[in-house]
Amino acid sequence: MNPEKVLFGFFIVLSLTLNFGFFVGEMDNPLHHNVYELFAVIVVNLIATVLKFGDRTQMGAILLSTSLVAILQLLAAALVWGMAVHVTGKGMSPEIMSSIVSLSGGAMLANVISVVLLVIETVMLRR
Amino acid sequence: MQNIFFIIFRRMRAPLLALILAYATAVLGMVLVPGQDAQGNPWHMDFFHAFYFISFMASTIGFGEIPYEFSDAQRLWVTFMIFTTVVVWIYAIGTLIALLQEPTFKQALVERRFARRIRQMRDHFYLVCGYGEAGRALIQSLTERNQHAVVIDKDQESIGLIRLENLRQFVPAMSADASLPLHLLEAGLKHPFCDGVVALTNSNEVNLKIAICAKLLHPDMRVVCRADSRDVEANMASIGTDYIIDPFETFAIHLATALHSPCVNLLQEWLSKVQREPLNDPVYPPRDGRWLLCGFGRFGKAVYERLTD
Repeated sequence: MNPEKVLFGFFIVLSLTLNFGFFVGEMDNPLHHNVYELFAVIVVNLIATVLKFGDRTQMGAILLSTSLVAILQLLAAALVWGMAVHVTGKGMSPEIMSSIVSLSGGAMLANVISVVLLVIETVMLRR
Repeated sequence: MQNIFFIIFRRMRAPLLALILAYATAVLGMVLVPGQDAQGNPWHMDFFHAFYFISFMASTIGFGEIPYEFSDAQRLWVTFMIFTTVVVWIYAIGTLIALLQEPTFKQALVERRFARRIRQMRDHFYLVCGYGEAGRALIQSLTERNQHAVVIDKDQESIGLIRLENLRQFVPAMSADASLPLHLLEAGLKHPFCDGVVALTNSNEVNLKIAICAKLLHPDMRVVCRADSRDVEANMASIGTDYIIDPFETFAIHLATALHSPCVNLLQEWLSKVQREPLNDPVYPPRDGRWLLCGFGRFGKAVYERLTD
């Protein structure tokens, strides 16, 4: 029972679960996607990325790259949201919402890969 | 290259986590704490403005309370967050600066730059390990004849001295332990243009190790080693070292030649002197009589053997 490993696994899985929670729902309905949840997803993904730093193995490199992909997509989603509502003044619309949700869907795929890799690593250790 | 990034990432993990948590808490707090708009109606900040405000607060720029004046609840939260975020930033930047000052990190940078310089060498060169008296003379002679060389020495000051010397060719030098194969590889042991390795350190064991590494990693390269113990010399010869130089033997041979055949010695000195030095005059020692040898260590034994031949 290694507390460091518990935290590592916790944040990786949490990033996937929160991401799924944000993603699920009608793609263009702003009522189904809460901005607080997107905020939580971004923060937890950042924490998971930093926890993955400094691992020299091949597995560690791939884990870090999936996290970086997820961060990229989530920050793009946040940027789209912020620009639509504040910068351009157009406000929220179904098109903007679907862009945001599709970007977060991409990030979710990266998080799925991350979790799968974590599971594989754990199973390999048990052998 | 990977080494450098690995060190940076590992060290910056804790500061980065602290930074992310501080920012996240601050932004969330700014969004949740109720404020009021210009008319006094309750109003909540959105994430965009919260992040903007926290950014210029944490970097101590402090533009002002945007877009409306803050309520007292917001000001209370901001007070706590000022101390948190500014301290976390100082911690992160301080860790990064301390990391960049660290000797191991700087050594890693120096080694990387040196190895890259060696990889880009396009001329044939000799790898000289050890920059003592012999090493210095060798580098001087090599560069005068427009040959290229690479030097590694354990002592940082010796490597500093090489930069002060007025050499005809640029000699890349690094302070590293030559007994580690990694450093030899960085200095170009397996480089296709490395014509030979000269082991001139003052330790027999290190010279032996250099000879072994060279013969294993670059088999068809010339290896010249210095040794002053018979066992180590036998060991070096057994692995196929091309030239083994025993300083005691060498000097004993010179001394014997000078005593028995001074003209041969004179000719040899004239032919092998450093360029542009004046030729020396012959010396004629007495031919008959006994020589009294005081001291019978390694040097004494070598002289005795040569003189009684």
